[in-house]
Amino acid sequence: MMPIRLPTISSMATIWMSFALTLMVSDPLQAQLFERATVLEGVYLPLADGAVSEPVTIVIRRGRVTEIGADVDIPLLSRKIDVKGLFATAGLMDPSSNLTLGSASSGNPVHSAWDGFDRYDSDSIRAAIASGVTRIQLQPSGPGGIVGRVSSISLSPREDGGYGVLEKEDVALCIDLDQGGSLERIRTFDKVRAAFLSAQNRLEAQDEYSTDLEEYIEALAKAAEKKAKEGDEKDEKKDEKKDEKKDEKKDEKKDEKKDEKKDEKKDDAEKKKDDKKDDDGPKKPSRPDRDPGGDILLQVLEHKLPVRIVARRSEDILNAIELAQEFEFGFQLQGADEAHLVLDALDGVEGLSVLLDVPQRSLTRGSAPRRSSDLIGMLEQAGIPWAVGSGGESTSFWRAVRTISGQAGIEAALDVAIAAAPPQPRRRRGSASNWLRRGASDLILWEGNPATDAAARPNRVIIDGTVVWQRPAGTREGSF
Amino acid sequence: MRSIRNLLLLLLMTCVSASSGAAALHPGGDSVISGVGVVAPDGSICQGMAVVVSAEGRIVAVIPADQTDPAMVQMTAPEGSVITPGLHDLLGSLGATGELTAGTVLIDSELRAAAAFDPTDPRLEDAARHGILHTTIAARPTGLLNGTTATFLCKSGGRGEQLAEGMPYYALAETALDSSREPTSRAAMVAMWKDWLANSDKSEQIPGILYCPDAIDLRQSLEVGWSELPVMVHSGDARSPVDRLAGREAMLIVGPFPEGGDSAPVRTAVWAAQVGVELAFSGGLPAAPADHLRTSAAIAVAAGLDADAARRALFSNPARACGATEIGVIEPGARADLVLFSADPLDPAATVIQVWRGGERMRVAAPGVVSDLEVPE
Repeated sequence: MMPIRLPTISSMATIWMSFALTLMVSDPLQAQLFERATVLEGVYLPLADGAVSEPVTIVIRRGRVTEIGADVDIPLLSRKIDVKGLFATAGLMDPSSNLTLGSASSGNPVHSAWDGFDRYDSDSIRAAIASGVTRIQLQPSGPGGIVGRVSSISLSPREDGGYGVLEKEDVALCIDLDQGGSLERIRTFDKVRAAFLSAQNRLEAQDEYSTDLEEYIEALAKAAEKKAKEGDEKDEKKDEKKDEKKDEKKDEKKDEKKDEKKDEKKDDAEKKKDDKKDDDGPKKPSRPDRDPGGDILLQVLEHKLPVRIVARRSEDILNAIELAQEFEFGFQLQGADEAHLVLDALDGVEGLSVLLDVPQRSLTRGSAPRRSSDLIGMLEQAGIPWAVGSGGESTSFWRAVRTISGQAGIEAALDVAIAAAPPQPRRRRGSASNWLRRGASDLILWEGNPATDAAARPNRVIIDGTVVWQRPAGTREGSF
Repeated sequence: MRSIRNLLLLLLMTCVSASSGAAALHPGGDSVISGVGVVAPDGSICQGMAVVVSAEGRIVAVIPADQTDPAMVQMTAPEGSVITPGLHDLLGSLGATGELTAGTVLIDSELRAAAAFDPTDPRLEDAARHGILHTTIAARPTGLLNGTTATFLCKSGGRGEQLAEGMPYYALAETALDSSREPTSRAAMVAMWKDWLANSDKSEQIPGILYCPDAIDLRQSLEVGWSELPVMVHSGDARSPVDRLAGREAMLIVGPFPEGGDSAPVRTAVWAAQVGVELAFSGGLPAAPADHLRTSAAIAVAAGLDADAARRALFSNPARACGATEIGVIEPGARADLVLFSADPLDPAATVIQVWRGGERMRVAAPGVVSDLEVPE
């Protein structure tokens, strides 16, 4: 029988010391071991079928929901937040926001909306968070045409101050065909088309350049081989010449003048030879000029970057379709107020989705595009996926969703608001599932059931396990 | 509890009107809209009610839906729908022709906004389709007293149906200053106000509507010595002066609150409501979006305004502000200017299903095909 070796006191001490050192040094490990879970007790979950769950407990660990249920084990030393009676859903995602952009204007594909995002505009950002929006797709704006790239941003607070963490800078290239009067809009379309034609030429030029470059490299390799062979032959000849030179050294003084002349002739001949070589050798193709804006349009032509086109009137929508078909890309159509008038043309467009916002209808006739009250029904019938965005500072996002859901007779407005970024062919009436799942990092706790109560409003917003906004006891914010 | 209280209130009103004999049901003449939620005068919604409307276009009674005579039911409303008084575009310019100004007269009690009303304006009809059935217009507030307001039914054609004589329309604001006449400075304007309130005949001092849009206007308005506070039009962010309105039965006309607009006036309005001030939402038609009144209400509710207070601000308070006693409420004796919404009107998802003006049903959706056209019986 083998004797059991007990650890000595010194080895035990070493183990403990190294464990303690590991904890001191490794922050993530420390966080995993000692981070307290956040527990929300007694909250209700609005369900897709219109019912409300029994009170449940939600456990959040490392910023994510890990447990949801009535009989959940509450971890030791967890931090409990008293939210009894509130309704929990995931955070809302506004796919069309201009939050904090203000008058920032762009007319170049190189600019991304993230460039213009003012992370220190805490009033506007907190107002958006207070309305339940935790993620946005920030859309650049400009005088019309190609206005920049849409960026995806989480509105969580930053460690270095302000709000907003970039999730993806290149969500889509944004083209605005809706600015200005009718003639202006035609000019804008022509400019956009010209930009894409130029990008297409550039694409061809780049293809040519790559082919030429490959040929050049091959030719260069052959030339190098040839040169190497010629070099070997020359070396042999040189050796022979060296022997001859040794014999001739004796007569050097005599023929100094003659040699000088010979050398001059030799140099001339070599020079001529080198020149001849340069003419005969492979010529390096010239690289197309650098064009960062053109490179971004190339990404569109190569289907690496999606496109979002803002068009509301029927003629602009038709222009958008023409553009997409000419340059063979799918696109997301934003606005689309008069889409019902050109539905046949939209029907055959591949990769099309629609992003709706709430049109500001005035009583002044002809002042705004016409939107059919049954537009969503028509889009669904045509199998065109759709989503809703605020088109503004995101504070109106929830109202926009409810307004459009009401127009379309959709009961599950939450499904429209919480869904991930479009395009997603998943919009079907009554297809909503429950609105909070494990793994979610953004949570809204509502006063009232947002699925049924028009006056429901967020009470707390939690992002990555932190309460980033809480409704003040009174609404008297600021001072006068 | 509140719903039960409101139900009892409505039943009591019905009993009183029935016992007086003035509002007895007349089979064959009355019609009933049944199975709806009804917005009560206090702004709450009583579910499962029926509204009885007389042939003369007046509300006869509001009774529980299960007590109605099926033979009289003109319309059974869809589930979840809510019937409300007409929305009211207060102090916008819907139906007004040109620009009505007080000119150089500082205290103009003769100016009548009613003279500027154009009943042929087709936008009145468009507004009605969106549930806006009443419009109150007023002169531009360029003097201290700018005549009287006028309230009309939103209906194109005919001579125009005026629903209220109107209230005096005062101003204590920059708009009343003029370099060509007194007052030319704010100090002079405040002094003139104090003098008028102290020395003029008390019978002239009818507490009408006072235009005081900015914070300084509201603050100074409270200092000039009103014996009875007028209804104040305030679109600014005077949070501190608002505290002084607490317990004084004050009413503020606020808004309009556009989407993406400044949040400070919204917070001020909510704060005012929380200290006990009644609110009424200001109109902005025809320039504003057609559903701007409900948008203002939804924005205020999102900012913390109580839902009942928001409904009062949409329906009953605008009528009170302009002195129209027969509109803005659904109770026996009131005009049957009604709007049937698919849901709570505070919900942006709610749409207008049906509209009645003086008990007369109007088409809401534009006819799409010939067969849709209504043929008069």
